[in-house]
Amino acid sequence: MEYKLYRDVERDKIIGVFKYDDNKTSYIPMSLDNTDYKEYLEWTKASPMNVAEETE
Amino acid sequence: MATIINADTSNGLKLTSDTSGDLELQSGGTTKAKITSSGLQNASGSAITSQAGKNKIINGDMRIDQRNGGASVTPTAGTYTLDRYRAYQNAAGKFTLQQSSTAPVGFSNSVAITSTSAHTVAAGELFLFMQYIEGYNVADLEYGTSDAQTITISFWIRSSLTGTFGGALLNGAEDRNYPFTYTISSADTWEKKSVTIAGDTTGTWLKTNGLGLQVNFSLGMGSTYSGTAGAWASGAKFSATGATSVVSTSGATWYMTGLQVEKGTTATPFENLQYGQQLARCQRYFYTESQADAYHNLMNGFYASTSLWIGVLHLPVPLRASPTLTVSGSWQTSGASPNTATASGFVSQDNAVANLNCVQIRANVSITNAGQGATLRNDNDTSATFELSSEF
Repeated sequence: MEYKLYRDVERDKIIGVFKYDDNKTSYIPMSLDNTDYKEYLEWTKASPMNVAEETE
Repeated sequence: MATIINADTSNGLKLTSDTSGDLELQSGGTTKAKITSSGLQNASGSAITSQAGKNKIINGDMRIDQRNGGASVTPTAGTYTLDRYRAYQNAAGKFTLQQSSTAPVGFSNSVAITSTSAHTVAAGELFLFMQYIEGYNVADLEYGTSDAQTITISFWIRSSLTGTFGGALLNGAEDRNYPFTYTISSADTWEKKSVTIAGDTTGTWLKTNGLGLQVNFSLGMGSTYSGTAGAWASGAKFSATGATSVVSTSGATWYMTGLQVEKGTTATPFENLQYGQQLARCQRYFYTESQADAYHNLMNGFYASTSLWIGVLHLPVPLRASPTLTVSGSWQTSGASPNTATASGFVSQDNAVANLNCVQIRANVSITNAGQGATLRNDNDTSATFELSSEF
């Protein structure tokens, strides 16, 4: 499982997170109502090594 | 007392009058309904109101399985299975789960859970089948206040095991719990069960689009997460101490259907909904569309540039929250020749709001003429998937 940040080029702003898991790609919006985004935040807090990079 | 109208097989109709102003309707001497100054009541004095929408559970009859279409799955720690139901096991592969056509009279489907081994449940292990109910849908229960309402959970259950089984209600924060038990008397036989639970007058219970109420059924529970049955308590307990563990018997089966959670002290008949109604309720939390055709058009859009396609997907019902978009397989955008292009890198926008009726979808493409319209479709790939999830 891997996370990468998505930057919207129009707004030049990070607006979402890609999750790569089990041959599936998910796009997760940065919304605290979204369970997958809350899981991503927990992942970032779990270890200082858990830092997602931006997509190319 | 009350004026009584009784019908029986000996006298036909009998009227016993008094001056209370109340009226009881009896059959064979047993009260079936009352009319008092408070209105229409059942035999136990609870108000008889509209039954539409009485069931807080969605897909209680286990008919909808958008994700797996009846295929067996081995859940992990929080896998959504049949629509709206989440399964949890933090020791890998101890049970499998699938939609089943084994069902009691009046139902077409159930959920079938099968234990894969004789597992000894450790203190910190949990094996669960559960549904998370949105706060909006349980706001009327007034949990966390002195007006908290009594609810009744009813369901059909069948297992190869007999004994006392467990489950629990919890709030979203998992700091309030009510473990309960139910007994299966005969192996491999459908039995209808009901559990009545007084409302919790303390704790924090969401009444929004957040997680309002958890309904958990245990398939095996470690001592850390087991609590005393029949009372509200603080903390995270997901079953009753001493309950039977399904995952501890290899090959054990556990079927359930007709799950209903309703306000009141008695279990009323299951609220049957038309298939389309039930599907629409599920689609508030999960939307997908079959790509069984080799090229199935999903939505219209246009080429915003030579590298970006934008479309808008109109949804059958508003989503609970900003959805996660999961796409697999091969996809293409199809416009006027030669503007058919491979589509990848899907993202959804217009997010961060609840009750979305449509979602803007963007994909990376490589085309020559920007500005033209183009539809999004699977690219000769009948196993391609396109899913929006706003589950908890």
